[in-house]
Amino acid sequence: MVIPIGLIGIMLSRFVFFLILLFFSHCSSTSNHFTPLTHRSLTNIIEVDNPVLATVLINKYLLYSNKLPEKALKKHNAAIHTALMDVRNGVTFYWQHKKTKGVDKLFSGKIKIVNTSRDSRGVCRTWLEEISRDNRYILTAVTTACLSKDKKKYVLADEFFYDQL
Amino acid sequence: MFWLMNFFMTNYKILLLFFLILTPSCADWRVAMKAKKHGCNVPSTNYAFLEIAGIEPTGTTKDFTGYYKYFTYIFKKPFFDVEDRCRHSRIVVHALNENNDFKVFKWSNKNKKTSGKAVVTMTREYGRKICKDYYSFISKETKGYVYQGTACLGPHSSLSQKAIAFNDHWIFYPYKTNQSGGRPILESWGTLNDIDHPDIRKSKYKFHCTRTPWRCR
Repeated sequence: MVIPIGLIGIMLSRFVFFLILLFFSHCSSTSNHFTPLTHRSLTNIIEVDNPVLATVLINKYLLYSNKLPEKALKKHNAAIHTALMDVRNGVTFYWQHKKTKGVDKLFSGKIKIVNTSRDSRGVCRTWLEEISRDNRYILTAVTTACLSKDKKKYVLADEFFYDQL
Repeated sequence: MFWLMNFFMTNYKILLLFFLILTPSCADWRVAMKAKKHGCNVPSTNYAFLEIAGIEPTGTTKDFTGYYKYFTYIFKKPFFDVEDRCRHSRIVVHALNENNDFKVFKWSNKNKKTSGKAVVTMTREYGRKICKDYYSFISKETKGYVYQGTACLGPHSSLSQKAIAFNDHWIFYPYKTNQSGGRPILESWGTLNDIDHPDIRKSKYKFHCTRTPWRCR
């Protein structure tokens, strides 16, 4: 089979574009993420004994294409915000987002505040969160946020928070 | 200048041998081995060493990553010496032994401009074991590193994740966001099957399956 030179050029340019996209996807801003859970991809990567360049690229593509979409991320952030503003513990907040562009994917998430405490860190709330894709790939985490010293906003209790203690 | 080049060209094998002998002797490996011998091997100060020491050859192309990590590590300058590693290990174990979450335990060495601190962020009790999540901070002059890990007291099941280190009855595991660090859990396809202990997520996370069945599918 003879592939026209023009077609090879198009394929190459697409491949280069994909590589540039992968490069810049790592440089994107992370300020939109309320919790580290939403950074993770909802998929299983291909595990082979002898990975070659193609395997690495396919895995990169799988991880990139199954990340939480922007609209779903906004819904998850809104659910966290609503849960934190609600004084009750044990109330479940649920969201769902259907992605119809390309292959249909159903993203969903749940938030539930399980503990509110007042200790040396101040007022802190701990919640269970879960995000899933097509009810198949499920990620779960336990996250804590504490009220800032000026009591105006909740700050994620991560390494930066504990470094200030 | 010419004689130097000539000397190098004729005696390059001897120079290479000296280089290979001297470089690892001042590298992080030697310091880490010494710290381990003294029982100062909590993962927060020896993480790279413990990772390298745990690499096993698989006979596949995955080994290249291991080789790369190994060769970049053996030429690394140690961040802490044995004395500081022992100080930090003691602080981490002390923070774990104290029944006081969120209390910050610190040490500092003004002569070497090094310091460290440890804080326990969560204590979890199970049927036969107790696990603690902690943060460890180490710094030298303007450079600093942070490590998040889990340490457990109790039996180490074959289903638990691979332990990184053992120190003063504490077993150290990698940190997991879903609290499965150190617990005997078999995780596959997003389902958690805990044999010994009830699942915290399921016990605290009940939905109204009759009213909203789509949440329980």
